[in-house]
Amino acid sequence: MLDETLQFRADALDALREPLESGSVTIARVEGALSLPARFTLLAAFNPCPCGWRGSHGRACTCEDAAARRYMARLSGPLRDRIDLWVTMAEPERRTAGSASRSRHPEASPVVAARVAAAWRRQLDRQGRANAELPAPQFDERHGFAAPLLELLTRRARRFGLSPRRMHRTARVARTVADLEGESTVNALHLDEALRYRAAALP
Amino acid sequence: MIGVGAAGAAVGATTAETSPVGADAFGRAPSPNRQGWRTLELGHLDPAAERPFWVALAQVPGVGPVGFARLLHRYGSARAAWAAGAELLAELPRVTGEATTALRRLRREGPSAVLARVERATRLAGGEVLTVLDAAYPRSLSEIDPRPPVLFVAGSRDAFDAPGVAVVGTRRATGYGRACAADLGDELARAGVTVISGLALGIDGEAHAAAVAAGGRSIGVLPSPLDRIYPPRHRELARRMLACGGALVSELATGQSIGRPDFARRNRIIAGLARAVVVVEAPDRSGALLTAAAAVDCGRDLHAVPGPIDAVASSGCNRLIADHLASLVTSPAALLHAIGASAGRRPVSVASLSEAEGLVLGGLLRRSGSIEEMIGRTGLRTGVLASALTLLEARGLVDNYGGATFHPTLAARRIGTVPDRAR
Repeated sequence: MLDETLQFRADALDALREPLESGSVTIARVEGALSLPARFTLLAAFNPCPCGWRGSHGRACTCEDAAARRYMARLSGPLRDRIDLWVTMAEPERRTAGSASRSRHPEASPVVAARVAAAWRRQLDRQGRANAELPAPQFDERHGFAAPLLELLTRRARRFGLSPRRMHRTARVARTVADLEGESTVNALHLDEALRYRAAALP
Repeated sequence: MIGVGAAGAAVGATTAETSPVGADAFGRAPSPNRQGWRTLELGHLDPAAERPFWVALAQVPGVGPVGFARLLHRYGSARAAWAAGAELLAELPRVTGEATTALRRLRREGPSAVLARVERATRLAGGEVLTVLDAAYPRSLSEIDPRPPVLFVAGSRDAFDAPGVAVVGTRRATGYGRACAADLGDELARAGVTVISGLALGIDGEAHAAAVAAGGRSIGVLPSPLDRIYPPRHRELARRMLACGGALVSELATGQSIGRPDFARRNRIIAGLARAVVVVEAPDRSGALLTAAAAVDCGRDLHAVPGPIDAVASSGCNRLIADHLASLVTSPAALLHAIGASAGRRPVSVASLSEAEGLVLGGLLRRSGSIEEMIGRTGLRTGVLASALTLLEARGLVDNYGGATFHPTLAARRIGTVPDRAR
């Protein structure tokens, strides 16, 4: 869990690339190299600019545009590609009409936990590993990806400018969305929901 | 309970308290009585004979639009001013060592050679050099004071004859501001009105892009020379504007290495070229407010799009309205009415949407909102709502402009009927 993620140096953040991809870190010294297991879930939170008020409704951002761009650039493209789910948080205290009506019926945690456990079991039963570790060549019928869906994925990737890596990540997220709904086949709705979690464009 | 906020409010003194005596509506000190352009008699000057001297003189640092008028008052013509040599620098408001060196260098090169060099560089950038004396010099600019003595123009000359409205605003636009700018740019272009702006990121870019997308004319006034479009990210947009019969204008000589973009001079030209200026979204101290001030200076109608009273991005606009400097824009149609234009035809497209997509789009057309707000308003499950938003986004019907709030786009407004069952 990294809070204020962009306060870290860019090279320090980029060191996360290897373990995020391979699940291990390799330390090379004169005497030789040592590989250590490093499989983890990264949770990273950050503000849109150094002062934190960019895009705020009620307060002015005091950052230079170039400074805000440099700030966001601390997260390199390859690292951005390796983060599966991006969520833009709305300001909590917006006093506009309609904000009172949100989230009327939050689900109870045990209900969500049971759904997650079931989705996890489906993945193991189907392919013996997590969707995140599903290699791209296995996006096929056996794993619930029909040809038209993969065509839709290619179309959406072109429309939203996704890199091939990002595209594959999206397919895995879509597989998970389907698993959470208990469905064996991934459909267009699952894919479009997964695309909702793609990274926002840089400012 | 909310006492923290009060400290901030106390700091923001009103304009009247902090302004110098005799200040104008924008809190600026009264300008000293200057020898301006309005009192100049230029009819007797021969445009062709004067041209090399105008272009060469305008290259001297410190000979801006104000200094140029003073030189004409003192010497009668650019040729005579040039003949005065280094002495002419004494007439200028601010002279630097740089000006002395540059003048010496330009005099060595000779005015004809300077003109040939500047013309060649401008042609390479697809433009031409216009002086105030040229018949093709935009008529609307020959009404303003100070006026740019030399202008670098690319694209269609006709673009300057048609009525134009400037649409300007902050670079840090919100989704609301972007949607408004696009809406206004689109409506104006459809009504046959040229959309004028500064090609900046944010509001300016949205207005230009919408005008071009509607097949209309758009004029971009650059803060940089023609051969170095600023910001570089808008090079492609500038190319599309030229392809649609629009134009690019700069006060800075092509091929000349200048330090930083000159926004203040750019803003004055924007206001000068336009019949009316609309400020779409501007916080306090925004550059767009300089354009607003320039509009008042040269007698152009000023309009402003209001925002919520607690929205910092709109505080400048709201103040213009509160101070009775700008009329409040209630809708794009009302703006067209105010400038005496009539609305153009809108193509109506038909979109086949699923029930959920129709519900979401119908809801957003009534009021923009975040995913959380839309869950409350439509009663849809998060997953269904999320996928509907992606599909609408893929079809160009909604956009969140990188933020948490989703807005309907122009294309969405053009759809004939949307099943509107959103509560």
